[in-house]
Amino acid sequence: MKEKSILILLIIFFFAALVPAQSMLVFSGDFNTYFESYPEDTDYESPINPSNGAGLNELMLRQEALFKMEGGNGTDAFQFWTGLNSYPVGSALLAASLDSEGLGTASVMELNSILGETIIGLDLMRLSYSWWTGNLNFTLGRQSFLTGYGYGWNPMDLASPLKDPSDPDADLRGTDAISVSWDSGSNLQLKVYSLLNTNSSGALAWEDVKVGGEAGLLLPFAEIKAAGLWGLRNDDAEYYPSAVSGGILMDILGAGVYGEAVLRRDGRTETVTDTADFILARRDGWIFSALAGLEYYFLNGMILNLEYFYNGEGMNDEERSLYNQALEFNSTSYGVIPGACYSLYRPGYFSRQYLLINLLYSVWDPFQIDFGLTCIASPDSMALSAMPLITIYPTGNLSFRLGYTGMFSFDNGEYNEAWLSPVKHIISLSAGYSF
Amino acid sequence: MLRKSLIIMVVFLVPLALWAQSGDELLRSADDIFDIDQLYQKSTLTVTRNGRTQPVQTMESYYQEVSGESRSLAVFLAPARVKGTAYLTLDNDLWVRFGSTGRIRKLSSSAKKNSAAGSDFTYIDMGEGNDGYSAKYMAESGGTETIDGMTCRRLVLTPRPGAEDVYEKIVAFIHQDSLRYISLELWEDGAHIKTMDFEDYRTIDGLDYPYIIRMTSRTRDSETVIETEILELNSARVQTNMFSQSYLRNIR
Repeated sequence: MKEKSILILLIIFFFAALVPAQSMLVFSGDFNTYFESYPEDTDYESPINPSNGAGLNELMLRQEALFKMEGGNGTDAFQFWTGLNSYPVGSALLAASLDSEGLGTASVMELNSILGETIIGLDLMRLSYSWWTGNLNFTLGRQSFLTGYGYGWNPMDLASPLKDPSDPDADLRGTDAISVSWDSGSNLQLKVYSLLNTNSSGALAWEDVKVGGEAGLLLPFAEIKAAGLWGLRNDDAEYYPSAVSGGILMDILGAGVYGEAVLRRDGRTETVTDTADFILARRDGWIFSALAGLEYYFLNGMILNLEYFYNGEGMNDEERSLYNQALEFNSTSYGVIPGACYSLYRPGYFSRQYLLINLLYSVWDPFQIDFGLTCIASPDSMALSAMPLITIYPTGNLSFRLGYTGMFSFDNGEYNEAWLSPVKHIISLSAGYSF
Repeated sequence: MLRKSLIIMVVFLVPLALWAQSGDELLRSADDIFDIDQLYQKSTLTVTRNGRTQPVQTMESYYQEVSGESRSLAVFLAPARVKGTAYLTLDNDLWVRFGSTGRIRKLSSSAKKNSAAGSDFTYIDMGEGNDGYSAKYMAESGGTETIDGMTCRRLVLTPRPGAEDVYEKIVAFIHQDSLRYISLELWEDGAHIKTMDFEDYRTIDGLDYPYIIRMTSRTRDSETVIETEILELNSARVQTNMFSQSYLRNIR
């Protein structure tokens, strides 16, 4: 499967590199270095990190580089984004929670290598070629399908890796597909696409084909989107199950008021079953998730986002209790926690209900300084994450960030994500350079 | 007696009506600089706050009018941190494309009144030129004033009924001879909050266009200058497919 993916991507790369040869290629990107401190008075032990198997330390260094090569001349466009990341083995546990296809990182590594206690990963984020014929746009390759109106979550999005609600602006890896979109240029957009390589089948087969579509309609009072994804294969836990979804954004008294909803055929992840050895099984049946939110820009420049997310794929009280028992069982019986069990720990998607508030305020003197605060609460599991962040932009290329993440459990008997986390407090300092 | 009253009304009201009409006509004449079917522009945006100049931002703008609908696209090229950020305006609707993630979002009306790219211009200010001021405002003549040695007609603009995204009042100064916009005083909540000055007019293909637009805040020590580097009327660089969300998604 991996070979097939690489072969397809190489073909696309070859094709894309030839066609825009007459276009100007533009190179850009970012380098970021993160120093993260975990000032805990414990040994980073928790049910998902027994005996600190992940090897978490008080101070960890993480580096990320994103290179972009893009071209186009108004009638075609070429995108190639690749990320090169290095981070300690221990922090992989913290990043694993948002992996779309198992244990790994949120952006899913194409290649990775462990050097001592450091993981070096290469991500292929985008590799696509687009061209226009009138109002028709064709795109071939790894491309972004991210859609929806939510800030922290996008339940109506059907064909992208999960967004991290604590860092919703992070780049998400694209999805391999061919897509055709039509844009009326004013109030109607239509898109149809077929996804490639979304499951673990070793050969191209009819049941691997997935087709999706999205329609966007701009009305005088609202913008509306509807989407659907359909595929024959439904026999194992796959990340892009058949689904129908919709979203709406309205302007009410200056505020952007929005909602999203999705109905998925079976869950994208497994859950712990009440069996002797806590077997994991995929959720079956139609699963409903929804989001309601509000965005407002104050005249002083402050931006407010408020959201409520009902996560039908999250764990209820009983499931969280079973999950905790499964962690203990695996830890005591086998001494390790299987990757599949780890991957169920997904902060921001772990429980059924979430509330988010995000505030952002910028000052521009002597240079741009952003003050941000994001709080994510899970009222059903009694957990809270608070993340204040200060970002300083001394020049047009440099940025420095100082942030804190606190995870608080208000009822440990709820086995919530804060209680499970081996790290409750993170102080991070990062420096970034854009080119 | 009745006849005498009618004569007095005609003598006083008819000139008043003509005066009011000439205000609107004058505004429409000044709006000729916005009477463009297709335009490409490369410009810089420089913000100076408390005497300190922020990193210069470079942007490309594309404009097209199709069947009476104004469409514009502004794409930021520099500095690196904002590269790829873009704003698409279709009539009164505004979408932003975030350069870092490529995410696209329609902005609410409260957002449109906010600072664009940290400047003294709001998103509304940026898009105001699409249709000209006469599309949203009624003009009343307010005499003449001299600005920088130029005799200007003073017009007081008030929003047309039902007009959206407007200032409470604009006082416009239009050069009496050339009918060029010279300055606009922007009023909100009874206060003159910003002044927009139009400078360095150059004639391109018969069109007078201000190569420098300066917005000065009156509520803080801040000024933003948009300086045109390249201006092409009816430019072949402007393609119809640019004014769409699918194009926004693929901007580099």
